[in-house]
Amino acid sequence: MNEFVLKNIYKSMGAYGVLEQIDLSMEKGERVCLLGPSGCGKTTLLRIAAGLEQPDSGDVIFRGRSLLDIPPHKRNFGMMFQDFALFPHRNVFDNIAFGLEMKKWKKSEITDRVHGMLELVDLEGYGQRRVDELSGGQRQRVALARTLAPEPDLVMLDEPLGSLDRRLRERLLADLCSILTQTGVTTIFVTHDQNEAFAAADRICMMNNGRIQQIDTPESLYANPSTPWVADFLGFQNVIKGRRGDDGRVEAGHATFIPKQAMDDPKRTMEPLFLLLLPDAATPVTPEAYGLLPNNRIRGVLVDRFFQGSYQKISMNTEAHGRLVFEVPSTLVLPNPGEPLFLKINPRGLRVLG
Amino acid sequence: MDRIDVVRKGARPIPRLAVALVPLGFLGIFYFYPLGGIFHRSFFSGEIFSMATLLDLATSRRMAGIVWFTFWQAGISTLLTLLCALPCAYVMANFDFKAKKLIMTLATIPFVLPTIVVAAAFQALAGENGLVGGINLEHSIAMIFLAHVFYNFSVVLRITTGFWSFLRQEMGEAAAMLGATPGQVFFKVTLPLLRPAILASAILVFIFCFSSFGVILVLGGPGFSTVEVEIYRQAAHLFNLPGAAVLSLFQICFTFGMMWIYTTLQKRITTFIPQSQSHALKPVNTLKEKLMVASCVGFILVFCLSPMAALVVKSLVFDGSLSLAFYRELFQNTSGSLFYVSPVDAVENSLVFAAATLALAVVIGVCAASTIQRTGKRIGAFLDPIFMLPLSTSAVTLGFGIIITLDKPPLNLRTSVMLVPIAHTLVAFPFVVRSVLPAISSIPASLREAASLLGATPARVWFHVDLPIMARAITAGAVFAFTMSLGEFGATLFIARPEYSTMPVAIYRFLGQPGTMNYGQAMAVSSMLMLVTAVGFLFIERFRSFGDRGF
Repeated sequence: MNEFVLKNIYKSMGAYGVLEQIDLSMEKGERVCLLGPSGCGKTTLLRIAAGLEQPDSGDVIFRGRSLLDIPPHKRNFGMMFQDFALFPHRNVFDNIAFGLEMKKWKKSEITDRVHGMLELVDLEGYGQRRVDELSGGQRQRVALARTLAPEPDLVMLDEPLGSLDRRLRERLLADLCSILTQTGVTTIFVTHDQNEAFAAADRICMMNNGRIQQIDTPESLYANPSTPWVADFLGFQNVIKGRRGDDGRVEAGHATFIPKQAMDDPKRTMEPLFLLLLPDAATPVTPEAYGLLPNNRIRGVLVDRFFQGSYQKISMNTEAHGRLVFEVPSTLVLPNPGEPLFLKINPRGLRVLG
Repeated sequence: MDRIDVVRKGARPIPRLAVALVPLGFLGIFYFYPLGGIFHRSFFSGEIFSMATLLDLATSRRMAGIVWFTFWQAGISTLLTLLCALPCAYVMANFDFKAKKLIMTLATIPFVLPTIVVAAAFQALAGENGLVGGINLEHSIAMIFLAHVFYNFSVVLRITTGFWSFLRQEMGEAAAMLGATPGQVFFKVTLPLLRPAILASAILVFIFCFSSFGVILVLGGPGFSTVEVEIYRQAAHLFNLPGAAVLSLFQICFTFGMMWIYTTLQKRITTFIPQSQSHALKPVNTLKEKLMVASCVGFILVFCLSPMAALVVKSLVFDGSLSLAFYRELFQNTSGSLFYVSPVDAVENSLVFAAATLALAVVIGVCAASTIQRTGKRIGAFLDPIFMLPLSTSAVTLGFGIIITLDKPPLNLRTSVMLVPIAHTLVAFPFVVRSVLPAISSIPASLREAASLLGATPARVWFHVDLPIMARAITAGAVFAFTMSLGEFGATLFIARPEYSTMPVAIYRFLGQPGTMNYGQAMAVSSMLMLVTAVGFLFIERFRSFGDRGF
């Protein structure tokens, strides 16, 4: 049985459009990341899961039971808000104790638990501090401790690092992940930063315009983006238009590409599609070698090259596919900008997008 | 920043000093000197130090009763005001509905009405022969409470609503996610977060009720006396100046103390407000929500409009039928013998004094605001509260201080026409400062520097840069000074010579005389005064460029 299920959720978000046809299932202890640009509906979806908002239709199911009639304070879920929403009238200790007080824990148990949580987030001795005396990173950890203290069945984190500066984020992300792993709690994590998502998630749920685009592990998401939008969001630049040919071929411009990856439905030939060329798929070849290649080849004019350390980034103009960008080893000698460039494309570096 | 200050200091030291001297000199002569006079009268008889008056009063049973009454009536009035205003603040801060702004404006009108008009309005509503038949609350404590709640309702409403709508929604949501029921969210999170705002507004209301003068004098009648009213009675009726001075001193010390607490809280509020925009207001959906909004709006409409409506009705009904008789009577003055001054002259006096107050308050207020802004953080932060001091001093003590000090050399203004506008300016110019200061501080130094690099002299810089940017704020302050002067009662009653009586004083005298015609004329003058102040207030509301915290 799935631990937590969002089933066919629809929700109008006012000026931000609508959430449509959202289906997401989670296993116990799993960490799923909702990733997408701002306004894509990920926060609204999180609030629906928390019970802070009701879906227009669809169901929210936890351990086989619908939660729609259960108000947020009875769900035993935890949520960490984007700017933490720490209570300014309570000190650190009393913030963390709040959820335990609501559960009517005994005083001595509360004290023990709060001290345990402070230890977990590495803030021993900070209990009596006022919230406004804390740094951003400390606030984040207090918010996390407050969320985890009442032992919630599901934890939601809304851009948990979003309000912190970049350098702090990387360190805190590692801390956050190790704490979540220690507690083993089922977690939904919202972010617009793909590095965060890759580092933290068991599975990533990509969202755009109120719809789920793709749900996959970070590795297979990166290796096999399923739509041009996902590829674009993940930072891939070489997406070219083409048509489905015979025998798993893709016709693009006057060129033919044969991806290594099997095509899902070979019958629908001539259907338009998008082909992604991974940045490391290209190898420069001589014009003669180029001429001998039957397919999986590209020619164009080198526009620019940038030395990046172990590799160099090359940018070229092609007649058939427009501007393409590849990464090739720095040791290769390349023609000068403005001169023709001939590339052989590795079939393992080709992805057919829906 | 420092560099710019140095440049400015070097540029024109003399005009800056002169500008600073205007408000400081004014305060020195017309505020601190009279205050010193009160202090002197309290402890010295002639040149000899004596605690006799102080001890006399301290041991008087009657005085103890008056002080006790002043406290508890203010306390109960404050509680009642909170009880009425807080539920409305909840509705106003959380729900979005049509005409909300209008309702808020309507609820604020009572606060800007002159106290004497409020008193007259409640007499028209629930006094002897009041509009609400069958009940006569005249000279009862209930009437005083009603008028105080009416007058101060919007203070609590506006301060808490403003603060409440800035409370972040996530606070409540975070508590709910941690298992708090809606009730627990309110008592454990919302209420503690609102506490500074509620406390601040409660203190403000307490100060207002504590130094309430017109309402108690007129509605309470001879049976009730607060410290404020007693100062007037001791000084004007019994000519016991030392006694009045000691009472004034008590009044001053107490209100200063309360004001100090209030400003400390205000600072807490501003640091306490989380740095976020106001949260999304909920639309009114369920029946329960509709009922809440309807009762809030209904309460404000009935409670705020009925006394005002009663006043107008009473002024228009003569002998059981609609008529303008009372208004006509005002301008005919057949009963002139009863009064030191005819109603027409009172209207004229009021308008002249208000115009003079406007001019004085604007000049002094703008000079004060410029001084605060230009002296930089340290001196400015010290000067700002000093310019606000007259607001923490009750009108009656101001008036009393002025008549006991400015009636003999070195400065004898006892017969001067200017005495009334000067007293009004004391109360009005701090509002000009409050209105102008944000505008003046919003002008970036680079704007002035650009103008002077383009060849403008300092005077032309001020005229072409500062003045246009401040114009709206100055206008708002000016209108405030004008309407405030029209309605000022406590100080005017003290210092205006009979021939310089103003409209509020005329209303008070009319109300004190028997007869339908006097009563009707009081209603007529009050209605006119109400109209002018309400219009002035609406004008400021539309015009002002500063934030929501108008108190």
